[in-house]
Formats: sequence, structure tokens, C-alpha cells
Amino acid sequence: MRKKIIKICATALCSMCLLVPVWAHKASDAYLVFGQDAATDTTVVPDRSTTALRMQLSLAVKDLDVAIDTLDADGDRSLTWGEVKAGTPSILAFINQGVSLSCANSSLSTDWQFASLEQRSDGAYVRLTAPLACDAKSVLAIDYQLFKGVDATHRLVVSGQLGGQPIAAVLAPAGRSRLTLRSTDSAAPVAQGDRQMPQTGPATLAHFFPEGIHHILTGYDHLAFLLTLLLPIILVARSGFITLLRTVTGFTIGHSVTLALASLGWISASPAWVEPAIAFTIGASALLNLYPVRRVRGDLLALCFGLVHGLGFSGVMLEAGVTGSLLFWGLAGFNLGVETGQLLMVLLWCGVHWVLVSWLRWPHYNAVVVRGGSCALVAMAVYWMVERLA
Amino acid sequence: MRHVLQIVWGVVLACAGSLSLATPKDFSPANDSVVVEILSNRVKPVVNTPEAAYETAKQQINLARQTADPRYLGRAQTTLAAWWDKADAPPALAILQATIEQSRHEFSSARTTLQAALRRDPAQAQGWLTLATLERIATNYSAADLACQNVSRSGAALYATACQLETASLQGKFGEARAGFNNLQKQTSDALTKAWLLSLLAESEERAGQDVAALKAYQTSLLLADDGYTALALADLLLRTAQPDAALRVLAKQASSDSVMVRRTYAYKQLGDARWNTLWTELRERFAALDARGDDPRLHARELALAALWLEGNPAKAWAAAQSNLEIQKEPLDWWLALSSAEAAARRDDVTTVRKQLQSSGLRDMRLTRWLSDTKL
Repeated sequence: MRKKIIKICATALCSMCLLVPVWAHKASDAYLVFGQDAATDTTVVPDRSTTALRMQLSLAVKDLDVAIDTLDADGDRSLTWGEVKAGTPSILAFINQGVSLSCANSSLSTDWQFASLEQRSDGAYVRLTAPLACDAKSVLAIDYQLFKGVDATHRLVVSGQLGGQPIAAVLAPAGRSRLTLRSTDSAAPVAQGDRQMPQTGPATLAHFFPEGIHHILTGYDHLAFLLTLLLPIILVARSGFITLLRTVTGFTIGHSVTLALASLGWISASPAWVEPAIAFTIGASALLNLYPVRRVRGDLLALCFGLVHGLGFSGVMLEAGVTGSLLFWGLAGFNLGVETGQLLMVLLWCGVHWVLVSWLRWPHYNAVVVRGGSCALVAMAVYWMVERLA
Repeated sequence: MRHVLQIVWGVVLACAGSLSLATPKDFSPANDSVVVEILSNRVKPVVNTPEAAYETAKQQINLARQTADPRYLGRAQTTLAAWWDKADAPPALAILQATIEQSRHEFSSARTTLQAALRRDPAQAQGWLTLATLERIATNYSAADLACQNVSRSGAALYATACQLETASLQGKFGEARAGFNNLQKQTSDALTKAWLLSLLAESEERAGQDVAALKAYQTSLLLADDGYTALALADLLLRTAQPDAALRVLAKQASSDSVMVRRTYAYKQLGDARWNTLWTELRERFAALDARGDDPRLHARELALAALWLEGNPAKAWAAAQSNLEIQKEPLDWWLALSSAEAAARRDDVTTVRKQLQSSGLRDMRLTRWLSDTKL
């Protein structure tokens, strides 16, 4: 036997001697994301005992090909969209035998569905999605065995939000394949250490206050809407300041109402229409800046459209899974945070406005900032709307 | 005019807004016949005998080379699973394991694996050749020479001589290397072997400061056999001599490894071509994906350092990466990278330390002359 191998080796010598490390690209990965999925989520469950969480699992087509012989049905090594569609049942069966989740120490049956194809740096991926039907207080664990006998360096990169806490972990089917995503009586994932959700009212308020600030300052669409409302206001006379106050108050009342109702589970809305609707509010308000309609008042518009934005905020509270009396404190903290962030933005805009209008008395302010800015916001809103409806 | 400006500004802002979104990009094909992915040749995983496993793993390693995709190395590792890290593994399989480790820049495990396999079967020419490469990367030239001598004991005279010539050339014996490589070329009619010898000659000429001769040898080698490593070396010469256009042409056919991507991006940047920004974004996504995976960042430090130095203009970051890269590999490019970035980051003490290491390493390279000379140390 040895002689034979030496012989093979000798013939291979020539091609092998050229083998020098050339690449340094990443090896095989799959991605599992926990959280609310704006693009595909159509079921925001109003029932507070189960959180409206979803999982998204992305698998590389190249990896699926080696695990599922029949995927490239005609064997021409060009995988078509038709072949992926026809192979979806096999893909789902493959996932179900290799990904097991457990809730409260008993196995959780997971309803994976095809969501979309996606392009990543190393090729095409199939993304699947499934609702996570596990009580927010139960132990949640995963065992990941996909590609175990195929690729020793395959990894599952876990990310997203679970119980309002970020989660990040890497699983290896051939090594550490099991992970407790959430331990008992706390919404905190084990992978993030022992961070627990606050259990008292003031602590809950303190927890959600920065969440609110973070949400508004990083939620570019809410900021864009606020800017759209602010653009046409000219702060020269007392009436300007009153308009500003009424507009910002209108927006605050609007989004507070729907945020509270959605968090209490009295109303529910699907991100599938809320997200495009938020883009619509920006576009519509910006168009009204360019072509004002006499009967439409800015503050009332802010109030009505604010209702839509509140539904957008509610995802954070729903995901956190806060219940009972703590929900009041959570809402108060989150809302105060949102208002603080909003106030910071208003102050910043006032500063810029003061410099350009009152101090420099820039003659092109209306043309460039008000009208130009509104044009830009219309363009941005159309882009977001198309993207979110696609 | 005013309206035009407003529209332009609107578009600019909208683009800026859309940039912050994206990744990964969803796509939905228009019809069933749209090709979603080109798959590589299917390797039938037969692993029941060592011979079958050897053949399977070799095909997978070749796929990894052709596609620059390390997932096939992971598959090869699985093929070899029954023998991986086993003291009684057939030496030929252990040598394949070392090849996989070397390809992943895990040089010290590769060396350990090889040394154990070669103790059991000193007749493995391929094993000695790979070991010699590892020793050269670590600037252990006498150990490399010893490995080359063992290649000749296995009867592979041409490979043994080439191995010795390359080791000699790295230590500054350029004339001897030139004559030797030219002589060896006359002894073979095989195109692949000729191409390999020419690429070794080209590298030797480049170290000797003979860019014109090096260019010619690289080009002839690539005409005889397309090889990713040679293409990369030629692209580096062209980038160094300010010929980004030619570098792009050389890299056009190569699979988009991170190494190839860094150089393409740099070439576009040198040309002032706006495509450099797109490529740079993609490259950053790749680095982020590597990071998310939890790979040892040292294994990719060379590309990280090149990107920081060439693309990001961040010499401090480049130096940090180049320094950890130099701990695992010490080829001429690695020294150049460490010294250039330390200098650009104005880290004088570090420059002095690396210069001392370089001078005592025994490596001689005209591209490093500035740091090799004794002045100002």
C-alpha cells in the first residue's frame, strides 16, 4: 500500500510543488440571526406570553450542493433558480435533521420556510426563516450539526437580539455545537454573560431610557421624518417657535399613543406595511414642503403620521418581552428616551438654522436647505419605499 | 440651474442614505432559468481506503487552489478525518494534512505534522519540499538546505536542485541561482515544470534588483502555465513599478481571493478609478465576515496590513498587523510591509528592531537594501 501511495505522490509532485499559500478568504459559514424581521415578518403576535421573534438562517448554496446531491438536478454545475425552488423541500429536510432547538428542555419543532436568496462576499446564500415559538422566560438552546461530516471548518455565526439583549456566538458542528441561547428566568442570552433584565420599576425605566435615545438617534427614518417637519419652519418671530412646539408635540403624542397600544397588545401591525408606510410619511411630508396645501396643518400631519412611527418603535418593546406592571415603566423610560433624542435633534437643527438664517442671513436658505432638502428627502423616501416593498 | 443643483444634491443624499443599508444583498431571479451560482466540479467523497482518501483530498485541495475558496480545504480536512493528527497515519496523508495547514498559514502545525511524517518515511520527496518551503518562510536557511538534500535522496534531482537554488538565492547568491535555474530549464520539456522554474527565476531576479529580467521570466512562466501565486508576484512587481493597468490585466483571470482583491483595489486607487471604492467596500465586508467567524486574525494579517497601508492610509494599523504577520511568515514582502508601515507610522524604535532582525536573518533582497545597509543603525 505504501509503495502505491509513494507512486501516486511522485506523479503528483509536479503539480503540488506549485502549491504555495495564495488565498486568505474566509471558509464556510452559515448565519443565524434572531430578532424581528421587517422584510418577511407578517405575524406580530399580540399575545404577550410568546414574543414575536423570528429566526433567519442563511446557508451557502455551495455548501448545500455538497450536502444535497439532488440540488443540481441536471448535474451541469450551473445551479438555476428553478433548481433551488425544486430543491427547497430537500433543503428544509436537511435543516430539520441538523438544527435542533429546545425550549424549556423539550425539543421545539421549527417551521422553516424559504425567505429569499442573498448575495454575500463568497457567493449566493439561501435564507430561511421560522417563528421562534418559545416563552420569553424559558430556557432556549440550540444544537447545530449541519455539514458535520462534510466540512471540518464550517461555522455557524449567531447574532441578533434575544429578549432585548444582543447575542453573538460562533458554533462549530465538529466541536462546540451546543449553545444555551437564554438561561432560566432571565431574558439574557448566556453567550453575553449574565446580564439580566431589570426586575424593578425604576430599574426598568433606567434600562429603557438609553434604549429610547439609541433607537431614535440610530433610526434614520424617524430622524428623516423629524427633519422633514422641521425644514419649513422659520424661527424668526414668536409664531415660528410656537409652530415648532406644536409640531414636535404633535409627533410625540402620535407616536406615544400607538407605541403604548401596541406594547399592551391592544393593536398589532405588521412591519410589512409599517416600514413602507414610514417611508411614505417622509415622502408625503417632504412633498407638502415643496407644494404646500393650505388646508393641511403641519402639527396635525405630525400627529397623524406620528401614529405610524409609534408602530415602528413598538418592535423594540415587543422584542424585549416586558410584561405586567413593568411594561408601564418600560414604556415610560423608552418614551422619555425617544423624546430626549428628539429634543437633541431639534436643538441641533435650531443651532444650524440660527447660524444660517439669523446670523449669516444666507439668501439661498429657502432654495438650498428647505426646497433642496425636501427634494432629497422625497428621493430618499421613494428609494426606501421601493426597497421595503420589494 | 438651481433646480438642477437641487436634484443633484437630492440624488447624492439618497445615495448616501442607501449606502448605510445593504449587506447582505437580497436578490430574486426573474425566471427559473437564471443561474444562481456556478458550482465547482463535484468531488465524490470516497474515504474508505487511504488511497481513496488521498485522491479525494488532493482533488479538494486542487479545487481550493483554483477557486481561492478555503471551504474546500475544510472538506479535505474532513476527508482526512480518520488520519488527521494521528501518529500512525500513512505519511502521504500526513503530508496532505501539512499542505492544508500550510495553505491556511498554520505554519507551525504544518511543520510539526511534516517532521513527524518524515521521521516515519524519509523517502517522501513532496514532504521534504514542503518542509523546505516552510523553513524558507521562517528564514531558517540551513534547515531548508537540509530538507532540500533529503529531496535529492528521494531521487527527485531536479526538484532538489531547484530547492537548493531558491534557498541560495534568498541569501543573496543571485548569479548562482540565475545560472542554475537556466540550466535546469534545459533539462525538462514539461511545460508545468518549466513554468515553475521560471517563476522561481523571476522571484530571484526581482530580489537581485533585475526588474526587467524578472518581468520577462514572470510573463513567460504565466504563458506556459497559469498560476495564481505567480500572477500575484507579477502584479506586485507591476504595482511597485507604477504600472497599475498592467497589474489589473494580470489579475483579471485570477479567482478573487483576498490577496487578489487587495491588489486590484490598490491598482484602481492608483489609477484614480472610482471602482476602487466599490472593491474596498467589498473587501471590508470580507474582513468583517472573517472577524465574525472568529478566525485567528494573525492568519490574515498580511492582507489586513496591505489594506491598511495601501487603501486605508492608516500606517499605525498597518504596522500592528504587519508586526503580527511577521511573527508567522518572513518572506521579502512581509519584511517590506513591516518596515514600510513602521516607517510611515514614525515608529523609529520599531524600525530599528525589525532592521536588526532582518540583517541577522540572512535574507538578501535589493528591494530591502535601504534597511539592509548598516548606516544609521
